[in-house]
Amino acid sequence: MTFRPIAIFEYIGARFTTLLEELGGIFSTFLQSAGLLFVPPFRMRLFLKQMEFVGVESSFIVLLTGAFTGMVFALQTSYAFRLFGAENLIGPSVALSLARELGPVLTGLMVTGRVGSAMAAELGTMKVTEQIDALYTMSINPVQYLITPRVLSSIIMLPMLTILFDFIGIIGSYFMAVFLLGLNGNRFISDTIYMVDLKDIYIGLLKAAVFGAIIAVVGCYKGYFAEKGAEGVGKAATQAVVISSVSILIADYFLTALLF
Amino acid sequence: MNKGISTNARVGIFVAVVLLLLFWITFKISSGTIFGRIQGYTLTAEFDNAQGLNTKTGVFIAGIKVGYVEDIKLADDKALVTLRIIPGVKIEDNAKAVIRTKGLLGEKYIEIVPGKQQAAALKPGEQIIFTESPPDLEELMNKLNGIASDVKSVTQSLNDVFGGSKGEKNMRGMFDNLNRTITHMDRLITSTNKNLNRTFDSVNTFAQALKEQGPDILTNLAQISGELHAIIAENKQSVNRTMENINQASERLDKTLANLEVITGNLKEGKGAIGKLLSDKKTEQQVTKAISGLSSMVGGTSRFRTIISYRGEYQFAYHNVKSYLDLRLQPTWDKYYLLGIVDDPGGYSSTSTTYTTVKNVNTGTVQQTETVNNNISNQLKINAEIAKRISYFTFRGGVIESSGGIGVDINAPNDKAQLSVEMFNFNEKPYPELKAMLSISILRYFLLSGGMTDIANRDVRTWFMGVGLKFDDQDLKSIFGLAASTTYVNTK
Amino acid sequence: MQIDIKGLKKSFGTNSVLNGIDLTIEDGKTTVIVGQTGCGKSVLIKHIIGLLRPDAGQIIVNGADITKLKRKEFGGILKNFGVLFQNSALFDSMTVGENVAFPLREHTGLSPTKIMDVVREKLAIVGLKGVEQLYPAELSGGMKKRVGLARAIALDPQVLIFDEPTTGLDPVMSDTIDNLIMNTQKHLGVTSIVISHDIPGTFKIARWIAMLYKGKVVLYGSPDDFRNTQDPIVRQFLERRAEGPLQVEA
Repeated sequence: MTFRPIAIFEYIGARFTTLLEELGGIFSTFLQSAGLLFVPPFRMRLFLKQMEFVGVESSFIVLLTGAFTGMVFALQTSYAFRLFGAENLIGPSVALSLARELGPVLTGLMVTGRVGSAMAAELGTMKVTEQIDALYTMSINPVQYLITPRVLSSIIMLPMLTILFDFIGIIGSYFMAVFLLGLNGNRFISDTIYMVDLKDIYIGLLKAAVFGAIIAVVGCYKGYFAEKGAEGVGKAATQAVVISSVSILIADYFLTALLF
Repeated sequence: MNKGISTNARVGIFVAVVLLLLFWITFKISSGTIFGRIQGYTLTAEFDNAQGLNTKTGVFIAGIKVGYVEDIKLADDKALVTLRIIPGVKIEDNAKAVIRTKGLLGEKYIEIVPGKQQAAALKPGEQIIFTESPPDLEELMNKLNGIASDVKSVTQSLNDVFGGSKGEKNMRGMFDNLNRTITHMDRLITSTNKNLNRTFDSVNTFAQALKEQGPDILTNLAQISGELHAIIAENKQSVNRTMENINQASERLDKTLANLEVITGNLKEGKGAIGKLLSDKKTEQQVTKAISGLSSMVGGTSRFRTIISYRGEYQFAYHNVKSYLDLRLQPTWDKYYLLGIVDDPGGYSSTSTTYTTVKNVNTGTVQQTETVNNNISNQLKINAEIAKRISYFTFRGGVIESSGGIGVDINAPNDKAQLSVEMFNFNEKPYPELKAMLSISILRYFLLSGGMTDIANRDVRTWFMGVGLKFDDQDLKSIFGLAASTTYVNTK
Repeated sequence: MQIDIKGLKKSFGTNSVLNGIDLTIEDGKTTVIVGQTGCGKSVLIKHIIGLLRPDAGQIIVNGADITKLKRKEFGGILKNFGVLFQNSALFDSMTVGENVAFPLREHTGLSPTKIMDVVREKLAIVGLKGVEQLYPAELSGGMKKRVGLARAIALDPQVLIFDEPTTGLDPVMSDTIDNLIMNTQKHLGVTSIVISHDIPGTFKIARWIAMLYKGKVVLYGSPDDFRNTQDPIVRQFLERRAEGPLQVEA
């Protein structure tokens, strides 16, 4: 087989087309699911179930990550701030970082790993075993039945998990700062409260909501359009995590640029 | 089905807990406000520069947060800042809003410096009139830079004036001038004194005369004053004009004086660049330092003493005066070089024998006569000696009166008296010239001396008495106006 | 409910799957569609239930061309269809009872107790009892098919579609399922469409048979027509020979 230089461009073009298709698919999935949110029937039970899955069942992992993130962050910043004698900035900087960035992003990444992959796998399996077709033949809109509750509950639960993350993270940093680094606890709290604005927290929560949408939509999209077989399902789950994580980080940049 | 209920409960509990947390955080952060919105009132303040201010920037009174910046708008090239203040916090209408920075690089905040308690409180929507914008850090740096360069140029010029060899010359010139001026003034005062005396004398004479001829004069005076009166009456206008002129002139003078006063006042208070320079403690210190540096420089010269002395010795045997002019260069107190000229009326005594052979033509015999000429040439002799002082003894040697010689001086503890013995001219006479002398300093500049010269050669030796003058460089300075210092301390 | 398929064409990219299918599915009878793997049987079914849109042609159900219907309007048509998928397509997350109850819950206003009654009744039709609380993962392949059938008939559809109902089952179980299909058909009087490779089963349950080859119907007729046909393609297929005009696609 002779080497055709044009093949490189064909390859790039094909990849680009695939990427665009994928983005278009993800976006149209989001629009469909969002649009179907306002179309009856409203299946409250499905929302609750997804909320339980996305929120309640993720709370442990989020609390764990949050606590350690706060502690580590307090420890690390203390090294830097001690150089300037600015230990009183440990609390505020931990709190601000958590509220603005680390809370939403790390929560998003944790939930992606746990929930995004699960959604992709679940829907992928349903797709492969024709359960989605079955839903369709039962005259039930699979997007409305499967995707809408997942997206909505993720949008609602991610900010809630972020609140947990922020809170436990600040508590973790407080413990680190007060009990291990010997800072004044009241000072820590008052500095933190002074420096952190509600805006910081609320924008962090807004970010988290966007991340929630990304996690659910990408996970559902990858599962919904999974290829046949167990391999296809596995691939869908992996891709969902990768695409969601990358999208969260990219979205975080733009959200930070836009909102702060 | 059971699971469904449990799901509801779990989700419900989760959401409730999280929302409680959120409310609590919100409540904590907004410090008793509801959703960050203080139910307070707004005030406005106009700043030249609101750089670093954001909405939600805190407003503080005495370090306590009393509100926050709600809005920042541009209004007529100024920043119109809306502040929301906690209800119940009163801000007087003469309060001042100041933008401050936490630490050197910290975040900005607004501090309200309270006004007088009696002043009326601002009502919602009113404006805090007195504001103070933060100096731009860069601007501040620039200013500091400017000041630094000013200071530098001032010190540079000071250095130019006082430092270096040129500076030294300038200084010397200055002192010179000063001294001359003082001398002149002194002379002036003296002469004025004479004049005054003369004036008083005249007055005295006049008074005497008046006493004697008083009545006549009085009559005359009366007559004159009458005439004067007439004249004045006639020339009233012109006199008035003259008076006016005088008045004006005096006024002008007054003003000038006032100006002068202001200027000197300013100088004293430290206004203006020069004033600042003069009144500044640091400047003062530096000037003092500079002067002390200068004096150490001068002091260096003074350590290197130069002593010029003249001495005349009356030699009783010969009825003449032998003069010595010596320049003594004394780098340290215990060592000096001496260069001198000696005018010896005795001069060199040289003996020449002239043999005259006379041939007698008549007799044909040759007769030889021997004539011994004792020539004494009035010649200048030189001194060039090195001296080393150890304790009260000074040993010196070198060229003494144009011949090799050595000597030793024994000083009295206060250096006022000195006993010298010297020996020189070892070849010419049967014995070397030996001289012993006692000299005493009188009135700092004067020397009295006495002794005997050429002690060993009995026929030529003589007693002598001498008077001399001695100046060192300090004295020369004062004499030639180089230094008018009265605080000169004579160091050894 | 008669279904008329006229000139149905569908291609995916350059791959032409349906090349003008003309087929009538008789009301109240069982029509079996046979053909090689990849001949377009599944694609045809997906067109009938509206999962795919044809490039050309019509599918007329009750006098209306369903290919022209919008997605939302399709919902009404779909309620008349019951589909038994190849792998049963039971919802893993639901019990057997919930699976069967699912269409009832979604589309009827019946009370939960009434729904439970209907579920039991439908499970009885497919010969199951007391399995409501089991999850699909706990069932055998044949039981899954039964539950799938029970779910498919839950809403009393007029058309039942069976997608390879006996594939992957042992011969005894296959025959049991065939019997079940026949019984159900008789019991409910529905129009049945069966996709199958199973020749004996096909002859057993079919009223009409249609054979697809290269996106076209090569033979449509009764099982007797198929037994007597001299068409080499059909003969090769029925006689299960590798040699002949039918080629296994590489």
